[in-house]
Order: sequence, then C-alpha cells, then structure tokens
Amino acid sequence: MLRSAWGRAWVLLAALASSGCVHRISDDKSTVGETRGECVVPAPLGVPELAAPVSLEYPDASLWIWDSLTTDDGGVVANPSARVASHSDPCGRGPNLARDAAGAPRSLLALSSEELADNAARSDGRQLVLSARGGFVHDDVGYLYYEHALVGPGVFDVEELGTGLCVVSDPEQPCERILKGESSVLWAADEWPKNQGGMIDGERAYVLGCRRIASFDTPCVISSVPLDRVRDPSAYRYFDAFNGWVEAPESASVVLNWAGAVTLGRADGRYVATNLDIFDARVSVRFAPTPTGNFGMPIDLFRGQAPNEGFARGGREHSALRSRDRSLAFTYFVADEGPGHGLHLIDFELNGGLE
Amino acid sequence: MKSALFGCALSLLPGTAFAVEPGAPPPSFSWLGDARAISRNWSASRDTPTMNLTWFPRLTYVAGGEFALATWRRPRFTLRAGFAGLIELERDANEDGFVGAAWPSHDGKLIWRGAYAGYVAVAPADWGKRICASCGVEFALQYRHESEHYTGSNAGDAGEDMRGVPYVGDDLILDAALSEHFTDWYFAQRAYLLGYIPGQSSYRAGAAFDLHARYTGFAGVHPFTSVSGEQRFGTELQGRDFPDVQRLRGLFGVALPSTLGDILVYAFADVGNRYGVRALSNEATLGAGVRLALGRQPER
Repeated sequence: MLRSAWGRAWVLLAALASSGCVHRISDDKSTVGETRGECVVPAPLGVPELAAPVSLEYPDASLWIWDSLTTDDGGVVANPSARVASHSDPCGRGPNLARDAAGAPRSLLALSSEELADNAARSDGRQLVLSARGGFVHDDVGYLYYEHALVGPGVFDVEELGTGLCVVSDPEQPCERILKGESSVLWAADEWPKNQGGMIDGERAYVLGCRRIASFDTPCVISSVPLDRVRDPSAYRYFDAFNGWVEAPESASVVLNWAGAVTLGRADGRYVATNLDIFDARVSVRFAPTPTGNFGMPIDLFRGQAPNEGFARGGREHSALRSRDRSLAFTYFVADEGPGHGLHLIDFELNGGLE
Repeated sequence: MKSALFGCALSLLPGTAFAVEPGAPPPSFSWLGDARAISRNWSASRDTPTMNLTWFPRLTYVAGGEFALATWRRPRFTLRAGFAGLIELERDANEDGFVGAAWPSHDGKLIWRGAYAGYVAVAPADWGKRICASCGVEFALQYRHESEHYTGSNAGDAGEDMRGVPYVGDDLILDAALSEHFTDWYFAQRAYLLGYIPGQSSYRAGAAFDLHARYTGFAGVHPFTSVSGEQRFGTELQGRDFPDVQRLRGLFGVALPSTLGDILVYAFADVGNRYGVRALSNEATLGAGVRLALGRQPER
C-alpha cells in the first residue's frame, strides 16, 4: 500500500498531522456591539501631534482639553481646548483649537500672573503645573476639575498639591478658577482627587476620583454635590456604601478599581462606567443600577491597537459624540510609531438588553 | 403486582425476546444495542459521542457514547430509541504554530463541554434497496443539549468572563443517512438539519454533513477517510449578537474492526471555528488521535 501514490500521500499527511500545529486565522468581532466608525484624528494647523484629551460633555458638543500641546515652533501650550461637534467632526481636518487673537492655541485653564511670576522666580527646578482632569456641564456651564502639582527637577519628580475647580462659562475664553481664601487648592492632596470626570443625575452632580496607591492598583470613589452648591467645596460628600453620603474622605467606599481611564455616564438606560485597559487597549463597560455603585462585571466592547511598548493612553468616553441612542464614543492614543499612530476616535454601538 | 403488570406490558410487543442464542436471528425487540443502523461514530465531527483522544495539536479527551436503549425490528423497518452523551476536555492554547506541550499545564486550566441527547431512529428495510442492492437508509430525530465551560486555574488565577461566548444550548436535529457497499469499499453519508430553541441558544439554525469511506479489502485493517462540515447561523442571545460558525474537518487513518466496532487511528486536518468557549476564534489545525467507535457497518 505504501508504494502507491495514495499511500505515500497518506503517510506524509499523517506525519504532518502528528507534528500538531495550529494556525490562527481570526477572532470574530465583538458580540456585544459593533464599531460603527473609527478615525485617526489629524493634528490641527500648527500642532505636530495630538495626545488623548479629557473632556467636558455639552449637550451639543464635546470640549476636548489636553494637558499640553507642543506647537510646530517648539512652544508648549498648557491645557488648550477644542470644541468637537460630532463623532465625524474632527476626523477630516482635526479639531478646531480655541485660539487667541494672534492665532496661537489658547489655554482654557491657565496659571495666574502671580503663579507665572513665582514659576519664573523659582531656582529649585520645579514648576507649578495645572492639569485638567474633566468634569461635567450644567445649564451650559462647564465645571472642570484639575490637579495642582509641582513638577521637576527630574522627569519623574511630581509633588501633588491638590484639586481645584475651574468654571467654564465660555469655552473660547480661560475658565474661572474657584478660590478658597487665596488658594485655588479646594481639596488637599490627601483627600480623594476628582480626576475622572463626572455626570449629572437629578439635582446632584457625581464626580469620579481615582488614586493610584500601588502599581496598577487605582481605587476610585464617587463624590457628589447638589447642583446649586458646586462651587462650594464644603458641600461635597463621598459615597459610603454603609452610611450613604459622608464628609470624611477616609469613609468613602471604593466603587471601582481599574488601571486606566474611567468614565462615568449613562447609556442604554443604565449607568455605565467605561475603561481603557492600559495593557492591551481593550475597552470595556460595566453597568450599574445607580450612579454610586453595584457595577457589574466588565463587558469587553472592542480592542484598540495594543501598544508594543509602554501603555495605552487616554480612553475617555465622550457622551456628546455618540452617533446613536446606544452608541459610546471613545478616544485613545497610540504612541507606537507606524500605522495607526496618533489619536483614535471610535464610535461603538451597543446591542440592546445586554446582561 | 408491579412486575406482573410490567411483564404483561412487554408481552404486548410481538416476538419479544430478552436473550439471544448465538447464531440466532436478531430478536424483534431488544434492550441496549447498536445506536444506529448506519453508525455515525466514524464521523469526523468533534460532536461525535465516542471515546476519543487526540494528542496533537492540543490534548483533548472525550468520554462519550451513543446507544439504542430499545430496538424494535419489524419486517418493514427497524425502530431505535436511544441516548447519547459526551464530555470533552481540551487543553487551552492559542499559539500559532506547534503547540509545544500536549499535556495539560500544571495549573489545571481546561476548557470543556458537555452534551446529551435523546433520539429515535427508523431504518426502513426496503428504501435502501430501491437505490441499490447493498444500500441502507436511516432517518433520526434527536433532541440535544450542549453547554460550554472551563475549569479555573488551580493556581488561583483570575477567572474568565464567559457571558460573551457562544452557547449551543438546546436543539432539535433531523438527520438522514445512506450507506452502500461497492466492491471492497464501504461508504456512509449523513445529512443534518439543526433547529435551535429560541432564547436557549446563540444559534438559530444549522446544517451539517458527514461522509465516510473505507476500504474493507484487508481483513484486519480498513484504511478510511471521513469528512464532516457544518454551518450554524448565529442569533441574538441576552443582548449579544453571535456570529455564524463554520467548520470543516477530515480524518485520515485506519480502522481496526471488531464485532463491537472499530479502533480508529487517525490524522486529522480542520479549519473553521473552534469549539466550546473558544468558538469565536477561527483557525486551521493538523493533529492526530485515536477513537473507539462502537457500531458496525451494515452487512452486505
């Protein structure tokens, strides 16, 4: 039998098969929804590259805010912003940055003249830096939380000073930093930050804050304030799963613990928390019956372009850019050089009735 | 009293016999026998309920069987009612290329699935003869349930979220089989139609086929090949849209026949979706295995 062509072919196939190998062809798309659109957002005129923004979500637009942008001439603009009207708006020509009369990008969140003078006078290599972290919008007024930090002299030297609040009455103009006495630090560094944006539900605002306590261990708590007392830091309370709203930061209950950006919002008639996994750029969502917790297990939505080196960056969800009732809109940044490098905007539509 | 009633009921079956003398013709009624007139235990499908082991590319072992619990032979047909079940355990590995270790990793993590089915099969005595002198025909209807699982790691690693993986669930399967002898060759073909219970499965319908050919010219060794393919159409389940699934698989090897069935020693090639909780992945594999296939090919 082995002398025949059939016999030799059979023996060859058996030898190949007994070596045992797997060739992966593909993985099917997500079962929980579909990516309806994705683009790499072009950098606007005068800016070589866009990082991932935080945002304030207005009813008709998303106000993107960056930590800083480097301009073509090597200058650095702190906390510039751009109004983005829809999920397709920035994909063609890039976001339209707020600019001053000379056409240069304008800071939405800016140091005061005294702070600038102090920075110039410092001789220890450190500089005061303000970093926008997100917030919420009520009655067309944006409430932007930001962090104060002394940065330098080394690249990784950072001293956190605390959290502030800046009121955005006109997105084309610098926001108004709220003061407590003479300081803009409204919440000290040992209190929970308010660095993951927020949302409104009823007569209260809910703000998510996460603090890194160890490598890849970043518990998050929710603080809340009546909408008519947003500017008053003494009116904020933390959610305690046992006692409701409490004043003491140390009594706050951890509602989430995710490395990577978390966004609190509403979608599909429920409360959601979304997250970008910093290791493999996988975006997931958790549903909850209340804005304060009982978040379910994460449901993977899609996987972005995983980083070859370092971590995935960004990952905020922009409710104003959702294209459909059950859509979610995300931005994240691919740092690796090559195809896909840059700021990605993704429009993902959920199926209804997810359990 | 109960035993008397039971015996009385059995006596209504014409020609009932509970013991068979060697060389005697098959009884008109018998318990526990060959599952089908045309065995499906040679199928290349991994859904075949047999005792099966593959070493490469991933270690999988199946404990399964299919039996007619009752067989009723009439001059014009043979009716069988039976049960099938299987548990398949598979070492999980996603590597491209050669999967190095065939044995499970020490953490004990395995993916597995379990299935059971009840069926009735009828083999009309004369229908096959209308096609050819050596032909046989059989039809069957079965209700089948399958669920997919994985075992967590013994090392305490984080578990996986299984809500988004396809779920076979409950289905009704109608199949028709034809077999024939041609000189020293034996052929068997079977076609399946699958309908899934709405809300109980991530599929709505499907179709499948089995082809089997063996050379019986050698007394103790039958070279054989089997090919099976299936298409399942996905549907929505609990807010998730599940995709269609396609699989094509071929076995090539030798059958070592006995009065009970065969030992199949084979190489295989397959392409399409994986099984169980990994069914959302598509791949092509080459491997080898051995199977105990109960059920004889029909007499010529």
